[in-house]
Amino acid sequence: MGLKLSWVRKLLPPLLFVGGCVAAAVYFVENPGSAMAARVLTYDHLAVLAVQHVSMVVISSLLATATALPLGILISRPRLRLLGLVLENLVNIGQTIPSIAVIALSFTVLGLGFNTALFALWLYSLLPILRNTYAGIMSVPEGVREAAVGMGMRPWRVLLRIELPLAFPIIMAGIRTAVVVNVGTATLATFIGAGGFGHLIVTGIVVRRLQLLLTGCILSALLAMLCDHLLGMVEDKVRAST
Amino acid sequence: MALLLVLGTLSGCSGGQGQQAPGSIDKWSFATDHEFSVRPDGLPELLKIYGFEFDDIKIMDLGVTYGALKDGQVAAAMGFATDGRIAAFNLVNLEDDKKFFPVYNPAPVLRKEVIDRYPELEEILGKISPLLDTETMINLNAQVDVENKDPKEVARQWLLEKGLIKEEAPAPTKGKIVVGSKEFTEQLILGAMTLQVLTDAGFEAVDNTGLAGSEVVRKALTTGEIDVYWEYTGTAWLVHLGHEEPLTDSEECFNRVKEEDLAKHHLVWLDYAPFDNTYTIMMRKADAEALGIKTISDLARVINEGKRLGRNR
Repeated sequence: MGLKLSWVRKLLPPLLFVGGCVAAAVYFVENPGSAMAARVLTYDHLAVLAVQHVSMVVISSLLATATALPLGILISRPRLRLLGLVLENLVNIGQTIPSIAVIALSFTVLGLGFNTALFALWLYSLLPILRNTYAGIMSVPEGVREAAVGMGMRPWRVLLRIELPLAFPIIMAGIRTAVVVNVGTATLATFIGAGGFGHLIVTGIVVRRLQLLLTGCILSALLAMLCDHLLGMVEDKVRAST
Repeated sequence: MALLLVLGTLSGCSGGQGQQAPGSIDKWSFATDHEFSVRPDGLPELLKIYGFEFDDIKIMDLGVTYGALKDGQVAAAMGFATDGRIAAFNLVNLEDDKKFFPVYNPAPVLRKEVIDRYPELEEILGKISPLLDTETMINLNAQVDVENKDPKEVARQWLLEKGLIKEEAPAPTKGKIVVGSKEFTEQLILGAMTLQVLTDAGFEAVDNTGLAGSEVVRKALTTGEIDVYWEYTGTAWLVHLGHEEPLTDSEECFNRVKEEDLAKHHLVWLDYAPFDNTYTIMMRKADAEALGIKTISDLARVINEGKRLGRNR
């Protein structure tokens, strides 16, 4: 019984987020409020936009994690510490570039569409993950590392058994930040013809239809919460197993 | 989104599928901005009236549709009849043979209380309108979009040339007037002209130009955030006054909009400019010539025939 209850408790929040998305979608499709909004607010169209938005976020986040995690580990090695310091400062500067600028600049090089948006989102997500991976590993006390080496551990075992587990919460926080920001940034992809929920937001602003604007905002916000929660569940699971 | 606009006009944003032989279009994709994709005088109705479908509709920022078409990323795109990039990018406007698009002559629109307080505004702004014919407007737009000049500078040079402003603006002695505009080049130029003739006449002209979309600017006017902007007769008739039947005669459209907007919303329309900045459907010149497409009906025929042949294969 207890096992079942804990499952319900675990799965309830994500189901609520998904349910909220569906409820919002149904409400606004049934009550578009104007002919102009009704052209955009159909189930088919919302499904297309949702697929575009989710795939943009998921693919770019996965690629960013696969890139930034090894790179972060690499620059935390003693031999490359200096490079790490330089890179970390570069990354901090990079983080100050507005996301719309990253998207616009990618557009001038790569042209329109989904792949350009993917590239821009990947680039923009690298930064928090890289920074947190580096900071997480650097935060492992030198004494702990020395003790592990003293016990005869090889460097890569120190990394896998000591450094990464201790840095894990910080790394995970970086990934979660990146993904949540990513959901918001992906709303800008509509400017370069890549669709997503931004389509609803921008059209809503331009033709002043609150229903469109709200649909886009609510769906994006719930998607961000859902992603954050799912990653939180992954984090708990990993922590429980180490 | 001025940034995208600037970047979009940098000639040769790459990433297209490369230039194919003229007329060999295997996928009919279409570039449009957000507004045209939902307006009652926009894409959905156009497709219905002409009876065809594009394979793929790509919705993007208005600033990048011309570049996307020029670079071969789409087969056709929406644009504005007076845009300077059409000639510069070797694009061509398809003739609207079914008279789907209404007339869109621009005119300064003000709240009634503003013109009541400053009746001289009618004469000051009235000097600009009659001088703006289609050729003039295309030329002014091209200076910004093709030669990358600043809209304010382009407006200033033209006003000086026409003797509408003096080299040195006087110190402001009259009240404050806030000028608005939409975000595309022509509107920025019209807004800049308005600001400069007002300053020249001794008003304290405040710049609130470059707002996103018709509805936003209109709302700013009715709520008093701005005092004047240039609106197009067709847009007011269909979008702001909510009529379903487009009007295709400039004079009639202007008179009916003027009358209704004054009675219902206390807005005053000053005289309209002769140029008609209607929406257009554009193609690359080489493609249109190779396929023998001159009108939107021709385009519909080519697309529908292609579909039929494709299905029979």
